[in-house]
Amino acid sequence: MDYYFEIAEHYIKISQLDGNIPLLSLLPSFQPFLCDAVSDEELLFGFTIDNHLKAVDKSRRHPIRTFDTGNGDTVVDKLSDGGYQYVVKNINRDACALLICDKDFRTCSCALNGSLNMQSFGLNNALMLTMAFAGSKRDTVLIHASLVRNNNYGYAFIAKSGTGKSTHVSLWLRFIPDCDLMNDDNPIIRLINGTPYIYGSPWSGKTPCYRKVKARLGAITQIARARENSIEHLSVVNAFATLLPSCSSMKWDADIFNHICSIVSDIMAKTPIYTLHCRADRHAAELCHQTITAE
Amino acid sequence: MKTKQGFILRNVCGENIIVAEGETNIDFSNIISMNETSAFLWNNIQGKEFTHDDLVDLLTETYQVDAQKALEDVTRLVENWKSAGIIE
Repeated sequence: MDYYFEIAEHYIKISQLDGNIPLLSLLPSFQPFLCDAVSDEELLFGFTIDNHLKAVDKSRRHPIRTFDTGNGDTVVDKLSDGGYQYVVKNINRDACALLICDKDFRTCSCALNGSLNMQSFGLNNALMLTMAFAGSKRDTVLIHASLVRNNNYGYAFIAKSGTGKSTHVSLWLRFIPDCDLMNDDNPIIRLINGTPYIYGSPWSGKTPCYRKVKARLGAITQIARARENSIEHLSVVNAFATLLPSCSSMKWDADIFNHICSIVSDIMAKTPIYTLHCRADRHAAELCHQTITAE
Repeated sequence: MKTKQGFILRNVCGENIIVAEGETNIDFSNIISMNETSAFLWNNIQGKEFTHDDLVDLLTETYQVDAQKALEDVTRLVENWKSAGIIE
């Protein structure tokens, strides 16, 4: 059974070869992104769920690294044909998904394992990885951010986990008129003819906010905790150093990493980047809104 | 000396910035900015063995600077590059 989804105005196809769990039970957050079938040429990537898929023989891959994602480990291997193998493990270190991709992440196969929750976790993460790396070749990046819309512009907030980007966004929603939450964890930025747009996505962390929405990117603001509220417009070097680590990337793959670096540079050419030093109070939201919506 | 592999100089909105890439540099997360002169030198010694004298020659050939002053600048620059971990 084939399913088509439109995410950040890209089309993806998921083919389910087997498994007794309906796809949308595994991917409830994808429901709003369902769309009609498109031709294979129009796809960003095609993704096949095949639970008979086996890990690539060790003689045809070498380990890159095991990454701790905060929700578990992801084990990355590079294949001798230039492609990649990922094993997505949950917080208990149980393997939930095996993902095998070609070097451009155009054609991917995935085997799922375990309970409904495990399979759902594995599939969501496998699709997020694929979207991030396939997107990099099409002027598209996933950014770890909370995203609020105001006056038709999207304002993204980035920070290390636990610093309070969601908290700051909740202050906008409460105190700034005409705001709505577009996404709370992993929105997508895409350059269209050099202009950055930001989109909701099926990945939103702990907040169920899965919306097919699009806005011009207004600004990106890093949140830093402080005793007094102040805001600074970042220099190019600081902005790049702030923004790059917030974008999903693979620095061991020169091709993909080059693409991500130039997309970030192109975003910066059109988008002011700030650091907001703030308390979690109404004044912080008002100061920030007043400053970053002025440009 | 030579430049380490994977330290690519990029132009980001008019600034010269070095970002590490590749399997051997996964743990190098610093971003290094260079002024015009350092960037000029870096581009000319990418992937080659080089000495202080090579850098001094590059400087005196291109900029109006005497060899003594150039050597002082080059010595300081090479120390910076070493401590930044981008040459070996």
